[in-house]
Amino acid sequence: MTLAILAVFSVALTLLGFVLPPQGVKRATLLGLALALLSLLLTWGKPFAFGPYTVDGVSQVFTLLALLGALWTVGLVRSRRFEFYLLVLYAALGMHLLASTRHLLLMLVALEALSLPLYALATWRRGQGLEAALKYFLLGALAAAFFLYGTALFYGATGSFLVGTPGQGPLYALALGLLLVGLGFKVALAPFHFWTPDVYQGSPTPVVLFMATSVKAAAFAALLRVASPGVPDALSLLIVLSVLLGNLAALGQKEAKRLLAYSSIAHAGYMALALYTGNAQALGFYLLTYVLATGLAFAVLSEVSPDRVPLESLRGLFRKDPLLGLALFLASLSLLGLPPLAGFWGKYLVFLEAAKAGQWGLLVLALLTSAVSAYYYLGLGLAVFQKGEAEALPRPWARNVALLVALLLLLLGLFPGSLLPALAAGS
Amino acid sequence: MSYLLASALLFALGVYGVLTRRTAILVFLSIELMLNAANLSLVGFARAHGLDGQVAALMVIAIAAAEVAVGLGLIVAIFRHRESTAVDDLSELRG
Amino acid sequence: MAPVAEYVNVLIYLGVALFIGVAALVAGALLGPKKPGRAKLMPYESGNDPAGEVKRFPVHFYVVAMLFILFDVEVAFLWPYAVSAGGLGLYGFLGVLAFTLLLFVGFLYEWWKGVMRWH
Repeated sequence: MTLAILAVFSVALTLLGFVLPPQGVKRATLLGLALALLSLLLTWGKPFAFGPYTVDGVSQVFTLLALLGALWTVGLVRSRRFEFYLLVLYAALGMHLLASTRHLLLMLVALEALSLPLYALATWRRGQGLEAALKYFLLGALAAAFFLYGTALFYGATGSFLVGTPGQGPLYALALGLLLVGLGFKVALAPFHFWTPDVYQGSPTPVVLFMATSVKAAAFAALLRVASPGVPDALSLLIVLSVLLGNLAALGQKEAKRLLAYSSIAHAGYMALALYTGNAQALGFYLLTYVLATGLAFAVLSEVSPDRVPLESLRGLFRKDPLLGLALFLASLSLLGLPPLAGFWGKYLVFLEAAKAGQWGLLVLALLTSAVSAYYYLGLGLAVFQKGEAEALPRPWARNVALLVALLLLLLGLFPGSLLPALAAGS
Repeated sequence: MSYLLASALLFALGVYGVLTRRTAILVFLSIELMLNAANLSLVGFARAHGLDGQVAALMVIAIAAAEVAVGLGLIVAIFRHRESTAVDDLSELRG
Repeated sequence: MAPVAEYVNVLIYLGVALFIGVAALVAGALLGPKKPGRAKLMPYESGNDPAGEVKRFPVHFYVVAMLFILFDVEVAFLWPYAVSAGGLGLYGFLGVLAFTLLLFVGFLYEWWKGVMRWH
């Protein structure tokens, strides 16, 4: 149902875009995404399958997160060309497909369906955007090639394209490793992260919001399925590198988008901890808090400037616009994982999974790096209270959403139990 | 077994190309080489496991074509913007 | 006769061809005199001096070529269908119909975007 709605809207809008004004296409896109979200909620907890397309708990939780990111992005942007909204819609379609299949070939098609629109979206601002997009494209294509070779080897080792098919031998291990590399690129796990800071810095901020939230959610759904029969040993190495590199490199950053890029690498490392037990509930909750907080941070940044945002330019934001300043402050605290906020429970749940799996070394490292991350998250969050001349021209819609999400972060932090059963029903 | 070896060789060649070439088009070409290496092994494995692999190879060709369309579009746009496609020239984003 | 043995001739031929090719190149590089001069290194443009960098870039060729690749490759799906159309029945037909319809939407987009207009 969700797939049908997204597909019909994206195909219909491809042609309707020529007759409707861009604002009309924007509204129609929002409507389509909202309808898809609604259909998702109406069938919550009810599995559905049609051929290799299988909607189950994992698919529903992660599609929900991806659609939230897409809605937010479309809402923030005011484009003169209707293709922008269309590309987001097509990418959302790919994300839903990626989260809803165990078939490796379909996963590959979905991976391309979500990546190709994003390559185009990254170019939306010419000049710097082009460079970012080329980097994103070349490394994304490389990731797809790795994923494909993993698929081919998986097929050779098991005779099937369905992930979760048991197998053994070096060929099987190599196949899983290659699949992990391919998806690792997409979720920005170190050492496959090096595109992230450049692309985040060079792309338009609303697009970065989309990349940081929705892509990560969809790719983690696929990662969850690929890693479900048994996590490859290499994963622990990826996690160690991600949390170390992400947090340490973020310490020296002077530009907010770059800082958040490194933070997203570190967060990918934390999220990957939940793969050891394959607990979709913990991963889903973490991603929800991450999507809300990162999305909020990027949404505020996009109101400050569509271009680069040096940390100095955030100074005085609280004086200029208390709501936006406070929202950025709350978002960075939630990303840090400070107790009264939702991010704390996300980290708590994921670390609990690592403990259950007996990964004590990783757990200690994750806790230590979390403490280190306080330095740059506080630097980002407290910058808004310092004296300075921040510029911000927020639109009412963006402010209302920022207020809503900030409240949600607080509420989820105070009553995390209110949502966990729903996530459990989904997964 | 020989097709597997050939495909592994082709894949390694592609990776080598990605790492050493400095022009966007040549890097992209190497990536296509990797895709086709996977295709070769898919078709090869299809001998043991049935037709699925060959159908997969067809889909990969289509995916590769879609990638080419977007990628070449990007590269052309960049060339028009700055008259060069050398990856090393693209270094505005550092820090 | 073993199938491999049939190819020995080809292998020998390949070896000889390779040797001659490489030998000619190596001999040329080793023995030939090299006296590069300014006039020799200049690109040849009908005997005139080069008129500087060419700024014009016919992007239109690339766009058309890219579109050609896309529509050309889609035939890869239609051909296997055509071979087994009888066995697939109505389900296969509807599938291909949907596929073609999507392709047609893409074609309309391209058309209305003005890519086909050649100026």
